[in-house]
Amino acid sequence: MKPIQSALSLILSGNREIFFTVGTSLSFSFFSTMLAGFIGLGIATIVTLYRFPLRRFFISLITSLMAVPTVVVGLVMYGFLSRSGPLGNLGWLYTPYAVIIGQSIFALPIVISYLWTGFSKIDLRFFETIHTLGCSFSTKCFLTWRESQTVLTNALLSSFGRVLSEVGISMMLGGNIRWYTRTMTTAIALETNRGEYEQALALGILLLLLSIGINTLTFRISAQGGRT
Amino acid sequence: MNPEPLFRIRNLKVEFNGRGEIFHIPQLEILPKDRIAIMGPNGSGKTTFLKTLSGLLEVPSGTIFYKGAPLRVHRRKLTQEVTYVHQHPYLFRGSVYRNLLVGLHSATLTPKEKKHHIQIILERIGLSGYEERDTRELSGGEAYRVALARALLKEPQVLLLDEPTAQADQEAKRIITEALKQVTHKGNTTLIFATHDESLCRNLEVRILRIEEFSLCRY
Repeated sequence: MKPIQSALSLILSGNREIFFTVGTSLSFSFFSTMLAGFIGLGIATIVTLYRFPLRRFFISLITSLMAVPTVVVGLVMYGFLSRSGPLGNLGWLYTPYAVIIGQSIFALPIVISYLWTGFSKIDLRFFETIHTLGCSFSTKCFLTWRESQTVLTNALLSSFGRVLSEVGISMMLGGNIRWYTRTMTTAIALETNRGEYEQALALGILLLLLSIGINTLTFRISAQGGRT
Repeated sequence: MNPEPLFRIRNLKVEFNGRGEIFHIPQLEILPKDRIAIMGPNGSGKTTFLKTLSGLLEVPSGTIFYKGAPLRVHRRKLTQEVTYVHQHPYLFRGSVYRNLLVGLHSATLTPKEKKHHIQIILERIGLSGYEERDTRELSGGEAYRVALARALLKEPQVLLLDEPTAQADQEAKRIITEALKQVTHKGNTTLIFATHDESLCRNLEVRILRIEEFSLCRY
């Protein structure tokens, strides 16, 4: 019980380092989800609205990419961003940019897959109607997004939740630098190794609360979308 | 001299209900400004035929020429010039006004002009004052009239309607008939619709195509 008490008192005392780490995690996850959401929305919309060769193969490839472990994404991106890599001259390794880009690549298949699944559930008559009304590409996209606002929100929230709890990319591309790129998950790993169990537990409790909060919100939005 | 046919159909065979039944049109020509009603029992392939003409379904066997070229060549033209309205139409989320704006999408009109056009079309289909109504609150008959108005705002050269009066009461039937009369008799729109409504056919003075035994056999 003592470690839990100590962890709770760390949280309640408003420990600056803990809350800075939480803030870093949230901002990295927010920006990477937005980046993945922006690109993923475009790809998912085109895959939904248009038929092109190898479309099915593309969809199954994207779905398969959801299973890629975060350390593999981190490893590949490390190869690109390290000094000797093709993007090494950018000097982004061990900076927030590297973490955000890595997390975006990890989140992209999740966003596309969620959106494509959601868009596929729209009534067939919707697609026939926008086709027969001769809508322009931009009108078709706008109407598809408006018809599936719930899907869009859920895709972003789900991917935000997944990104928030990943550790491999943040560790490999961010370097776990204190007051800079240290996130909740990398901090938990570090503090546990150092024997600072209370600090790790405090971060674990906060991560759990955030995950539960995001999942509850996703569930409520889904339920609301189902009713309307 | 006869005008160039809008649609020229040769030996069209369409499988339409997943049970392997084939709808067959040996030969048919549809001229500009034609008014055609397709009549036949339920499940005889009327909807499939309309959807094929609109380009929503592929032509599996036989040929359909639109303005002298195969349908697939004119796919882009077809979406701009031909509009199909479902028997149970799909209305987008939001207000009636927002739905009607989609019909006006290609026009280069000012917001004021768009509002004016929408008010006129709503008046014509007997739904004045419905601008801000949520589409989910509309009855089946009202929804059909909104979908019809949306299609008319596009000013299509060919209007394909699936059972336009199936969900309409007497007053709505009269309004739909008048609206269709206006676009076909005074305008240049070619009208092709599936129906069981004999009185609608009489009022619009249409050519009737009858489907019997999955084949267009009388017209």
